[in-house]
Amino acid sequence: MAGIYWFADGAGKVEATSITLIRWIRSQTPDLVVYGGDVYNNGTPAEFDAFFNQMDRNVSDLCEVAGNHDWNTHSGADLPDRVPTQYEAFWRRFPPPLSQQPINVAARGGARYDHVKDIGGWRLIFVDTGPCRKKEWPMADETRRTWLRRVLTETPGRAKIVFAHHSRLSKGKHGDVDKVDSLWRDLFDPVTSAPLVALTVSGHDHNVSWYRPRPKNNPGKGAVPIAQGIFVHVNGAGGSGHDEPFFGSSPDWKDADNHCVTRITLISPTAADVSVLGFGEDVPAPGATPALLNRFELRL
Amino acid sequence: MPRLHISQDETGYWQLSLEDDDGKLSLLSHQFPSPEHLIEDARELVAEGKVPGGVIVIGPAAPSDARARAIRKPYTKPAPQKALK
Repeated sequence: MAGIYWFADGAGKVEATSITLIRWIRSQTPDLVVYGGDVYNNGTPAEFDAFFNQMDRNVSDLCEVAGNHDWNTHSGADLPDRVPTQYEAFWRRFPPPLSQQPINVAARGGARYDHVKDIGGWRLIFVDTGPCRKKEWPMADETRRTWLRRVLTETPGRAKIVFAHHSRLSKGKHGDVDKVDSLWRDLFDPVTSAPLVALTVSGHDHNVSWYRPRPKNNPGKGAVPIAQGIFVHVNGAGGSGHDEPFFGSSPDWKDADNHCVTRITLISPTAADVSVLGFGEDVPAPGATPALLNRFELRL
Repeated sequence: MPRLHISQDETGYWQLSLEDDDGKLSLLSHQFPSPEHLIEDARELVAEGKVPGGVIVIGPAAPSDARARAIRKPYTKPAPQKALK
């Protein structure tokens, strides 16, 4: 049994919620904490300093999939060689085991931050989609597709979860992110279209959505049997305001009224539970504890 | 022509509201501590064609002392509003 915690879109310049969330998460003795991206407002050195303070000056249990705001401060190179300079500078200060965020300096651009962790019989795959608000994944770097294909197929089964800032499906101010459709399609077998992973977890829209299994083609059209589709979870409700469910594909369940943490409990190599824990609509008071808003079962 | 209104509302936070061609207002985002993030999002909505031809209207910030007094507790979701009264 392992507990993975996710929150996103809630740290940086002036955000006040994330410190309450991370302190509660640590009270639950997490095996891993994933910050789902966006250190506001532009991923500057001062904003990463604020982020470090909000994390109680401890990132030893933390990794971050960068968001578009982290990429606002970037190098002058064109994609795919562009890098989010302060995101990289921050995490290079804390190489594992000082954090859980590796950086592969031999890779290009966002590929430097892609990585895998094997925990509790599950493979967790972390993919940088920071520039995907404007550019299509894999940002003209086909080696990323090759890497993804390898990490998806070198271990058997589909007890795998992909973490990225941008979601193929979302309902909010941003809605579906078509520029990660290529990433989404790569999560299915190219010949049989069978899903290679169980779940994707993302942020970007500042609310929470849950989609029952969705197929490779036209995933916004509706759910399919689990053998044909991948569950999609969005939780960008980590503390920087709330987005109303306006644009995008309608989820099977949503919450736009709470600041939220997601807990993924890896029960066995064929079973996991995904719990959405809400801290309310207001900035939570120090020491606040969440209410369970919903729990979803993954049974492979 | 649709408008994207960015304004500080009665809660003391910033919100983003969409005014469609018929004048109907819809709340898109709320409880943001500053307008910068919403300005970037509004520009993206126009550039991506989600709000084609949209005009972005940004309202004034309340004076800091008034803003400090205006934070409403407990927080409740505000109504959508135009940036300029």
